[in-house]
Amino acid sequence: MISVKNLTKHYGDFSLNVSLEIPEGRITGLVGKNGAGKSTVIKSILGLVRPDGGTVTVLGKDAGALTPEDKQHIGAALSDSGFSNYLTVRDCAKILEKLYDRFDRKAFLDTCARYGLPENKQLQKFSTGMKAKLRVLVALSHGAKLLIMDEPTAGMDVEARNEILDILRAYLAEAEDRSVLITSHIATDLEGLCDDIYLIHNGKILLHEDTDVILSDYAVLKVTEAAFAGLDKTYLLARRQEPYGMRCLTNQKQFYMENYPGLVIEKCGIDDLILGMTGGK
Amino acid sequence: MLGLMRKDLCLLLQRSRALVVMVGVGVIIGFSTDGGFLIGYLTMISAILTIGTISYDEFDNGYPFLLTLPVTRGSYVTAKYLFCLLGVLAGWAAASVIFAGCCLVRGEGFRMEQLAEALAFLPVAGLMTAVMLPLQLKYGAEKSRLALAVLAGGVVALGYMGMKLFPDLPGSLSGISGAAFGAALVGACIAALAVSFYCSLGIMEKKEL
Repeated sequence: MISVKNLTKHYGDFSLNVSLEIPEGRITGLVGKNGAGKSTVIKSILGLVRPDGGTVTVLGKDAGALTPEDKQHIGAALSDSGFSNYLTVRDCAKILEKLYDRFDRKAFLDTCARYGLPENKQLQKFSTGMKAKLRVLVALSHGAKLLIMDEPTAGMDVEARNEILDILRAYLAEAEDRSVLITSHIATDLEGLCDDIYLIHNGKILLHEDTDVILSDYAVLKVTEAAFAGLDKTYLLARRQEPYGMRCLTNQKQFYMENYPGLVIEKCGIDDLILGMTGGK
Repeated sequence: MLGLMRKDLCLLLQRSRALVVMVGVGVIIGFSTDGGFLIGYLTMISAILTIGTISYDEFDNGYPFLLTLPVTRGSYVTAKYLFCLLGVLAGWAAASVIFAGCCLVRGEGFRMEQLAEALAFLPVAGLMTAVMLPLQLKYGAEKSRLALAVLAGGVVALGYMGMKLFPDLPGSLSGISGAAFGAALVGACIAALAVSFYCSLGIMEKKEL
């Protein structure tokens, strides 16, 4: 579905250099801190920015050469861009009807009503959560087989975030060949949704791993200085000094559980992975 | 492309109060002054309102989302030119109908020279569209005003230099017939729109979103 090979893009001091693959039927998360390069990757895939180097292929075509027919199969939700705030949901439906062959106006308006989006209210009067819901519903409105979502849950409370994730899950359950690339800096949102995760930091992919593997094999080790000195460091991915000693990240939880029974070993979530791999506190 | 034009129409209709006021003022002008001013006023206002839809696209960073829809950068530009030109034509037609109605109410006829005068506003509005659209696409709504002021200053300066270099030019131009002048105006409008369209295509193709 998406193939990014050695994509490079330079903005002043920032340099992006990434490769990633999203096969058919896969839900892939792209996580990283703010400013890591997630949105630039998304915009390159959507053909909104021109790469300085490398290739970006979407649905078998160069991202910059996607035709309107190709885009019929893509649904995009961007965190900072959408329909004009002066339009209403009804206006959006009229516009989408003219653009997408498979857009079902009645179904779209019914879904909007079900999620509490009034038909005749200008979008500028919508809350942050309502606007985010609309952006997601627009992306899902035409049966796209590839969804590209940039921070669909940004700035929302936990209830609204869960609602959006439920909408996405329901959409993906309808057909197995649908693929998703989703970015978020709220990693917990992605743990229950994504098949695999790319971790991006300072414009580089630091890690690519299946979500199940992260949750089962990765762990945080909390050790004193003395215990750290005697620890086998072969399987440590990152370490950080803490007041109690060292906080270490490993992808071989079982090894340390079997060989160091007294060690404090905690389950690793994606947030721990980001913090561990990017040197965050 | 139809979807983009539909979007612009929806945005334009958000300013329905402004449109009603505009038509109301047009009717008042139609009864109180000659047709030339009324038709010129409504045609130019139509051009300004339709060109102004670009600022809605630019506002709140709308371009990235619009270009994820099943359109190309080229079809965005084409839709914008078509919408603006159709808007100008609609404004001009509405103004002409209002003026003709005012003439009928006043018991006056509609003379051929008035028709020619009314038609002359179309290429003028077309020229305005040709200048404004690429400026708005390139510099955005705010900066394009400054760019337009600089451009207008340049045109005045060129005109002044032309008058200094060719002092007999105004006299020789006065000999040109109305029909020839009208044809030249239409030709200039078509040429300007063609150049403007290709400039706008280039601007949109290079735009980083």
